[in-house]
Amino acid sequence: MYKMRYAAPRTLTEALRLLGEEREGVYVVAGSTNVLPDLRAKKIRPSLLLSIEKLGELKGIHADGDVVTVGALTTINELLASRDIELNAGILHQAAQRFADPLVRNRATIGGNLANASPAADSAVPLLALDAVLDICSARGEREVPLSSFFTGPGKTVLERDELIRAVRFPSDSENQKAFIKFGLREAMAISLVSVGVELRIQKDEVAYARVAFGAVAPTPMRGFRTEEFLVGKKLTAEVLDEARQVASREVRPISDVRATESYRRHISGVLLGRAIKMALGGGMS
Amino acid sequence: MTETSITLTLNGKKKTLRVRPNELLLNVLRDRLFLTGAKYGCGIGECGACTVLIDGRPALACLTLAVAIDGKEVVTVEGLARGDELDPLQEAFLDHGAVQCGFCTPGMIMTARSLLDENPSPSEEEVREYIRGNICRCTGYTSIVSAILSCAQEKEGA
Repeated sequence: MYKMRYAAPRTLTEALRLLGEEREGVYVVAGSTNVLPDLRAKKIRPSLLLSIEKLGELKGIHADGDVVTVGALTTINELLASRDIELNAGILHQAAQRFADPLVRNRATIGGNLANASPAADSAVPLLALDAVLDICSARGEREVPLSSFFTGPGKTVLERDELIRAVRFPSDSENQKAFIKFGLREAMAISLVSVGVELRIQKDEVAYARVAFGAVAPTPMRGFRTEEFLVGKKLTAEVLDEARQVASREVRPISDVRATESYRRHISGVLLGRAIKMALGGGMS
Repeated sequence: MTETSITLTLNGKKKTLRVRPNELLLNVLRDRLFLTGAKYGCGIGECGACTVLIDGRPALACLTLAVAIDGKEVVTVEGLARGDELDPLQEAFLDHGAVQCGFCTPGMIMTARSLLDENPSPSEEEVREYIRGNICRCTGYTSIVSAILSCAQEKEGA
């Protein structure tokens, strides 16, 4: 029988020391809603489970002026219960309502959802649309990584073996018009088929600012840079929306899998983009 | 594997146990403490049959390591009744025939308890939304939802 150790340090310094010392097989756990199914399916064989649950340094939501900082250990339900998030990160609040179910939301953390790097991660899409930056730390020091360059592939990120996500930071979106849509095969506990998030600012009838993000349509959650570029400076007429849908359908890079085909995902990406823009502008769903 | 000593409050009583790092809370509850209310369903956090309250909030005992509950408070369905007096929700499940095979019932009741503690008079939609992670394969949702709603109304009228 192989040996697995468990450690639950009380300080960040101690956690980073353990993470830095261990050569291989360290798995960081918080709510353990991702790690335990993998462990039980024998997909992973940790030598050390490093629980970061007790690290106060990674907790809390702070809204300071225009910048919101969310500690990596914040659970999805804590996001839902936070007035600061509702006011300053409306899109993340919307996404948290679609996240798994209340049982998982009580344990799953925002840092874990990002570090797990599922292409369909439900917190990644709104955070990409919010232009979030990650505060990453290790015994060697700290660094910032924009979320848009954090993911490198399914389950893969730029995190080094000795690094932890400490917090997620983003500017308040209170002045933006925004919407998040998760499209799955059923209402509850569905893995997204496609998810879309948009953040817009309209000035003099024209799009002055646009952030678009997609989930489950590429090897990683992705920013829709081309779609954003297309939208900025345009009046959102029916024709422009139609064209934006096509830009989005071309920009995404989905695969065919058990849940849907590539062409269906491309089509739906465009449709959902159109719906999200309309929702953001207060027009409801079409 | 090295055992660790943990202390928790279980159904109102302090308990100290020695657990291995890979032991699940669900297995400790069922196999070592013989609290077999929480059920082993899917084992991967999809069905909600293993729901218990951890620090007052419903969570999945099958996705929780026993070592991780050191210092926390756990309530299982066995901890709801006060002596011989069932929790109003348990009574309501009986009155509404909200129990068919019974496998989902303990988890369903724990989730519903937490909902009513948070929001004493939820709408039907709020009830359905809150129990979305608790699956009933007998598909007895209608009676489950009305059982929960009956408690909400009784509470409001009281």
